[in-house]
Amino acid sequence: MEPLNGIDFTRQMRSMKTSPDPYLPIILLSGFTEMERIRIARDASVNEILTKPVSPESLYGRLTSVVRQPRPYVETEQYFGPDRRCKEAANFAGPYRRRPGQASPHDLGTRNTKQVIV
Amino acid sequence: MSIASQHKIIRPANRLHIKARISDLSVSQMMANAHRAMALIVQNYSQWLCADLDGLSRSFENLSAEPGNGDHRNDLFRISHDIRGQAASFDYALASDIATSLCDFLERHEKIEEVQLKVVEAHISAIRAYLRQSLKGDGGSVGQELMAELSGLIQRTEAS
Repeated sequence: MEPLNGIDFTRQMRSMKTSPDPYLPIILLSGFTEMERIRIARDASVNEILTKPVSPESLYGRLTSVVRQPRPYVETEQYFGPDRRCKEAANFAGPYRRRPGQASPHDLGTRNTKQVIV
Repeated sequence: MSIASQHKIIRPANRLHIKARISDLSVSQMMANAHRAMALIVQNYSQWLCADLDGLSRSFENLSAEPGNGDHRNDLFRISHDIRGQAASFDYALASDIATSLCDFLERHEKIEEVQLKVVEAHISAIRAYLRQSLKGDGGSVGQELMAELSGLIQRTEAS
């Protein structure tokens, strides 16, 4: 998309130095459904992802999510943005879901372990 | 360094929640209204699709005149990407499938030369035929046949 695609826009918006509002909720509406593209969008720190085709129900669901149940933001050395975990395991007793060096089961090997500890 | 010192959790003020207006309508009423609005768009979407098809045809003509031109290829990609995203939302799933196939093909070929132009032309013709026959949805058996033909053409072109 010209002059800026949604991923680059999100990265700029989340930049603490230049952004007018780094916490702005962003719902990415995309025609791409491949898992790798979804991961890139998530790691670019969009709040919600909606893939086309869009229905009123799916759009309403994403809108109510950012309004009623906003995720906390996480800041690490490598990542700033909404918490990328969207589900809480029913049997999780905390406080940390992963320990250093324990990779996410969804990790493709491209992320730093620290990023997983959020 | 402890795990806790490696990250910071921030809970910004929820300004959207303050600004969001509470509707008098129930969720089901709102959804019904939205579906009615979408039904109106569906009625007009074939005109939008025709306009996009004209755009695809113009870009194809430009690319045929200048094979390998990146700007014309990008025009084709942009328009087909729009169709890919919109058509399925408005009951033209087959147009979306054809556009998806074209997008994927264009992504695999940074330069469209004469041999690849045939594939592009076949996709544009397929969308035109779909519209001409006033098909909707996935096009049923005709749609499956069209997609199989396109897939075969792509395989043959990429194998050659």
